[in-house]
Amino acid sequence: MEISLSPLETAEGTLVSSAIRDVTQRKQLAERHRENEIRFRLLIDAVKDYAIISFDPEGLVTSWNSGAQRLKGYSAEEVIGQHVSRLYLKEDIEQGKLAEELQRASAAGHVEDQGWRVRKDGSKFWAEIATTALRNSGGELIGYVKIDKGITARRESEEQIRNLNSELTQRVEERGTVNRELESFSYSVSHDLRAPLRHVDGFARILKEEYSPNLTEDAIRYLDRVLEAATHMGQLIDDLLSLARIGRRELKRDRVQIESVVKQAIVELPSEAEERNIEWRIEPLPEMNCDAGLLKLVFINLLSNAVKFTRKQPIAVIEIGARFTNGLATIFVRDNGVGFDPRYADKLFGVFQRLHRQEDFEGTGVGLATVQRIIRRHGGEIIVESQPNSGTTFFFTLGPLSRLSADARTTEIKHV
Amino acid sequence: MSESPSIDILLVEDNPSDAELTLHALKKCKVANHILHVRDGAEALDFLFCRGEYSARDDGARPALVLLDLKLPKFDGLQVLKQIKNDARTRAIPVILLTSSKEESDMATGYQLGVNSYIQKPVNFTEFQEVVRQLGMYWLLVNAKPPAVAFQSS
Repeated sequence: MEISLSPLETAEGTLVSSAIRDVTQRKQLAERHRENEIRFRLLIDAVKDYAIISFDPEGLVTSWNSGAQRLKGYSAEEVIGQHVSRLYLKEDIEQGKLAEELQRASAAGHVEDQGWRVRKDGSKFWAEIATTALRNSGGELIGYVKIDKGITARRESEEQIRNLNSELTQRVEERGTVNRELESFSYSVSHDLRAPLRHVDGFARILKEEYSPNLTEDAIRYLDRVLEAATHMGQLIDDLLSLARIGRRELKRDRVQIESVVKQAIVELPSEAEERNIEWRIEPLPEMNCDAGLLKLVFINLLSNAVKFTRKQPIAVIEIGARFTNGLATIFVRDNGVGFDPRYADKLFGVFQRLHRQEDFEGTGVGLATVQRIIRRHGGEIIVESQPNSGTTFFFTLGPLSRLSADARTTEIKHV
Repeated sequence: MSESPSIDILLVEDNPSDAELTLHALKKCKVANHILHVRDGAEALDFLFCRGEYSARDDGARPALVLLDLKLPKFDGLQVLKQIKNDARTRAIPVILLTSSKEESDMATGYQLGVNSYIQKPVNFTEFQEVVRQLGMYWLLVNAKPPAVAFQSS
């Protein structure tokens, strides 16, 4: 109940007019309004990740939530009544960015933007901002609400991505340069180193063939040494060049029938393979995802080694097969040849590393380095097991290194 | 009609050892009687286009075959090849690139410019002699030479 008494002066004296109104409804409305406002303030204040602020058309701050305090460093008491321009970079204010932003918000009702903002301590942060113009029921501008989210972390990670990208681009370019250098290197190796070798071989051969009546037996033997050395060096150059080309070449992966690759490789083995008594045991082999041309090179190298090192056996046995562990295939190539001391196994894949004397078994020491490079380019690994006079077995995978586990070998040994 | 003795082979080679070995191999197989050896690309072009010290050369006395090295001083082999194949007066002369390099890009450029054959010199001299014998036999005896009209501009 609202009772109002008003004195009313008249000629007859003072009268009192009283008005008695039932205001229950109005009171309830006001109460609900206040509750709503409190609830709304609490809600806004509970938002910690966003700064929610409002200011009047002149730019003086009228409300400030706890998110704003957290993000910008000012407490509500410090900032209410102050001008919003203190939250901006000086140069942005000078360039009219704030005025422009407000103008756009007032015209469109709502704008979203990104930009630098300044904390109380002077540090700046990158923020994503939504600005809404507030108008009363008559359409008159009564202020603005701004919601900001500091996204410096996101911007930093974006910047980091950009930096990484440009670094990557630079690396690719550097790699391109290295590749071009390598290319010109192998070009001059193939051209410039071969030329003097041809001259050594050519003149020594002319001497031997056309002047032999005037030469002693020793002189002819020395000429033969010169010719052998020239041939060997020619082979070295060719092998090194093909090793270098593997590094340059792009991997062309495809589903490949390993069995057909093995058969093609056998056809291309040196003629010694055909002239010898060799028992080939080829087990069923899987289909694998690899570069067929390079894998053929792997088999040509491994199989010609097997042929070479079984030379002293009356019957050479060369086996090619596969075992599976967790779906990952391990291919093996086994021979019953001379084998080697396993202490030297890790030397075997180095360029120019040889475990046999040239007069026993010829070679350049590049073949197994080539094999290892091809397998590693596929993400695989190769290992070797051997004992003197009891043959050699190479195991390789074309998958991740870790998957060539010891149990692949144990299963293997059980099968023997 | 007075014709200067025709040249069987124009050998364009700057390296004296290479030149000597090639000449030796050619002599041994007895397919070529007249071989002219020039030491760089500029001299080769002077000879082919009757310029400089060869300005008095009979234009009709073309070599039956040009053996061209790739790496040459002044004009390299591919530049010489380009000029030969771009001129009606010389285009029909068979040109063989005889070189140490088996670089794919050199081979591709050589063929694109119209080389008639591309041979990588083997390191082994016995093999080289066999290659020279075969190419001499083929280009100077088996192959029919281009007729004079082939050298007129169309």
